[in-house]
Amino acid sequence: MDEKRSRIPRIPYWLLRHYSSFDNPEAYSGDIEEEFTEVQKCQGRAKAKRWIWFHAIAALPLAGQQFITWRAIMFKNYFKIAIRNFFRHKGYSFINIAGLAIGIACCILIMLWVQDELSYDRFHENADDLYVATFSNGSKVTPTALSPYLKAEYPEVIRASRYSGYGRNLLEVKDTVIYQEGGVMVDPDFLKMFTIPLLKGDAETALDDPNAILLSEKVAQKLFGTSDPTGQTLIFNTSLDMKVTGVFEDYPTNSHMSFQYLLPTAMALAYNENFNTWDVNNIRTYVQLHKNTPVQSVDAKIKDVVERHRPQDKRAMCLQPITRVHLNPFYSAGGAILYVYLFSALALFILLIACINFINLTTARSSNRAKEVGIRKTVGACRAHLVRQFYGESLIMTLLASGLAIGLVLLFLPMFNNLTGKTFTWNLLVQQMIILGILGIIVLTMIMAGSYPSLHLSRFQPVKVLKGQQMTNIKGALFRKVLVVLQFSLSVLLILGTLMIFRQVHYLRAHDVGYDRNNIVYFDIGKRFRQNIETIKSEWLSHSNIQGVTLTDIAPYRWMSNAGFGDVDWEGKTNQQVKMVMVSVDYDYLDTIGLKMAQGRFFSREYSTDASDAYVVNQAAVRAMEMDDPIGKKLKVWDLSKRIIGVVEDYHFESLHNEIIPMAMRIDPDWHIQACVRISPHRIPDTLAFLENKWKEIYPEYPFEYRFLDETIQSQYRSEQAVGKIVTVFTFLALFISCLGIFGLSSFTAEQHTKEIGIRKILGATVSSIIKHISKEFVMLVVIANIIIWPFAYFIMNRWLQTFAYRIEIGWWTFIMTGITVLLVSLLTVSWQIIRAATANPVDSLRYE
Amino acid sequence: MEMKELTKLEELVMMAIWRLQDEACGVQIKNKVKEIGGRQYFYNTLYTTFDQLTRKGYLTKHFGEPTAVRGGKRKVYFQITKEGRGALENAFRQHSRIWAGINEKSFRREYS
Repeated sequence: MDEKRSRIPRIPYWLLRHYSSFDNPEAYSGDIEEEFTEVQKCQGRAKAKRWIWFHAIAALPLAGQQFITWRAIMFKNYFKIAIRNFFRHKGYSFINIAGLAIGIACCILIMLWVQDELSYDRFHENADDLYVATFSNGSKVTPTALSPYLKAEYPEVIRASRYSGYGRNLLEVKDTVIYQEGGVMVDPDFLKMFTIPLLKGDAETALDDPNAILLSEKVAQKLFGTSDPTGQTLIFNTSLDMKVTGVFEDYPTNSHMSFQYLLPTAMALAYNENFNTWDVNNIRTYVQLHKNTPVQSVDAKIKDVVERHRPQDKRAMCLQPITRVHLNPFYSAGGAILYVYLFSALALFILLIACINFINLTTARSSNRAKEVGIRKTVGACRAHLVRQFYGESLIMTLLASGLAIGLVLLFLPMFNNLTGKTFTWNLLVQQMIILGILGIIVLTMIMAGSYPSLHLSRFQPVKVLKGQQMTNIKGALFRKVLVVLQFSLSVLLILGTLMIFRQVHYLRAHDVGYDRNNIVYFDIGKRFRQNIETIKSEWLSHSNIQGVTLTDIAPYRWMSNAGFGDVDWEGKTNQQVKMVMVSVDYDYLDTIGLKMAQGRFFSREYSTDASDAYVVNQAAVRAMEMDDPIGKKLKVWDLSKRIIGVVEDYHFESLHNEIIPMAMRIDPDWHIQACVRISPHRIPDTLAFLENKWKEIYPEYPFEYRFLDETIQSQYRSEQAVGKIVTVFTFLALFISCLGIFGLSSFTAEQHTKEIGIRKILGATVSSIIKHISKEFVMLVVIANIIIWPFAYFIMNRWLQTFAYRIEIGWWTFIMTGITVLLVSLLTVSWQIIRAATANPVDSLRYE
Repeated sequence: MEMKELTKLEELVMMAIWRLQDEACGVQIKNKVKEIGGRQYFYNTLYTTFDQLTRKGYLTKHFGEPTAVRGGKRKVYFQITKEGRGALENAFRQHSRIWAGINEKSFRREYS
């Protein structure tokens, strides 16, 4: 019989050996092997195998009994000791548990947030096959002709849809007239590509008719109440009759798209035969690829698709998965993914700070446990047992803290919702992912908090500690100092970051945008209102508090998303590539908005040619075209060739994330859909009421809904503001936990130095000199922490500020101020304990009993 | 010496070792126990008993040479100590007292 085949079966042999703990393990396993060989020889291998398996299984109960009972007994003991320790040092236990609980609660909240951010657009059944066409520079504004072309030419593309924001429109049925946000124009494929469950209507045909409209449940409810809207007619923007062909479930908020009602692209095609074009980028293009098509292969084929039709546009085209759009809107760094990283780091920092408290307080008080360790070792515990015991203790602490943390989370969930603008509910906590996450956090905390103490405590030599030898624990003290420095470094980093975010947001809000954006009210005017608008305008202007009224195709905010870019040609053009935004304005635009002319003149009614043959450009446009004397030069944007009559000083018509781009203004009343009214800051409510009354006199049945321009502009920095708030709260918590930690450490130091302080006082030290002596150590640590983290903080903040075109300087005084604040807070924290120790009567501290 | 009362299994193992003299090691003991005790015991049971008896001081052990058939593991030989012999003697006396005057016929008489 060859060697290998006669070998003893590994599994039962291992079992037998593993769970037996006899004094003579070698002889035991030897006996098993000997008898196995004997049985094998006499009765064959099959019998022998059966024999050993039988033994292995029969030995289980005994082994189990040995294995479990002892462990259970020891566990009971560990638990008892842990609980006793917990109650003996209530103060320290409270600091530990509170710190850990706050840390874990922050982690859970941030995990909820991160998980929500990552879930964007995942709910679409085809999420993995859906892509949005993106230019290499991150722009998703594509030609209208792209979508049908991709679907027709490339077999990999099974469905394609255009997507074009249609904004706020007036929807009108018999008794109800509302302005409704969230109109979006799409192709029929849209309903099949994305998961948008229809409550009424047929997804196959709902968008086929050019006059069809699909409403969300909410809008249908607003317009039709409880009655069935399908088949009903509504008037769209006072001019078009649309037939409701279906109702869809309210579209989830965790998507990069957002719409309240859907219109067919066919509608635009029906009224504008030039709609389908390669010349203008003004629409988004979504495609669905065949399952398992590698997107790179399609990317390679469509790279030059726009260039083929419009040679001057050299940007490469590629497909971005829709699940990435929310996180990486510009395909590069930036977007929500930045905040996902930021907040994850924040959560980890806070947890780390809380764990450091645990480590420091446990090791600092290790001398209290030293005798216990000594005795345990003397009666036979090996190091592994002690490591297990202290890990167990940190697990018990962590579990208690997590219980508390979940309570905190439930308590503060509404506040957190308020802060983030999301709607988390408590039943989110029972999701599988989240539960796994919480377990992960618990294990992580246990390991982070328990590792060092358990290794440290189990290292004690029983002979030394039982003899009562003083633990000269220099290494441990140094380690604690390093950890405190780390804690405060993180706190300082967070504070600096928060300050920077606030200063930047404040800067953006207060930044001179080139015109006075306060006291401008704007509202929509549909086609139908245009005919009477001049009448209303003159009536309004009769009021002394109304300083100006002007019409435009879009009020000066966030033009990028609405106005299209045009290709530009001009007199004396060499080979510069310039993209220009075009706006249509009215004669009184300059005065109403409050712009200044740099050169030439603005549009004027006195010149009859201004309506047809005049452009006013901004300074950025002049710079881009490298014109020395722009007045009177010919300029062609899209297919409109006009003469430049003036140059307006640069002003910010977009959010300050972007630089001012070239822009041209023309007069074209057909495009005017918004009115801006400048009112005086006095008696604003009266003025608004006057505006509304005059409106109602002419259109009693239509609502008058206005918005303030400055409010709209503020809302552009909402994400920075929200992030600022969240970061502030968590920064405060981080600092709080750090202070809890040094509070604990300082009271420990004071306790340890009781005798020393007593002797010093007897020898003539003053209270103040003692306070100085002890707090010096903490001050040093905080100072070191500041100095270490400053360069790092500078680097990170600089990176963040780079994402803004207009940004603050990182002033050195921010660092100094932060440093001083942290120092003061920490001094204040430790001083209570130290003062108490320093003012104590030396008789009490030196008394020997 | 009152606490030196042996359990049935301990008694059985001790007797097996006593009878085996110099050859009292694992497999042999197991076979002997089967022979005199009438049933087979698992090694787990036997080794637990060895441990107990050794701790009580009734057995001593010494190591034998490793052999190939045991996968290169040494045998452990057990020997009965003086205390062990005392305990066995105690057990013998106890048994004698308990069973004094009884023979197999006694049982048959009871039930017939």
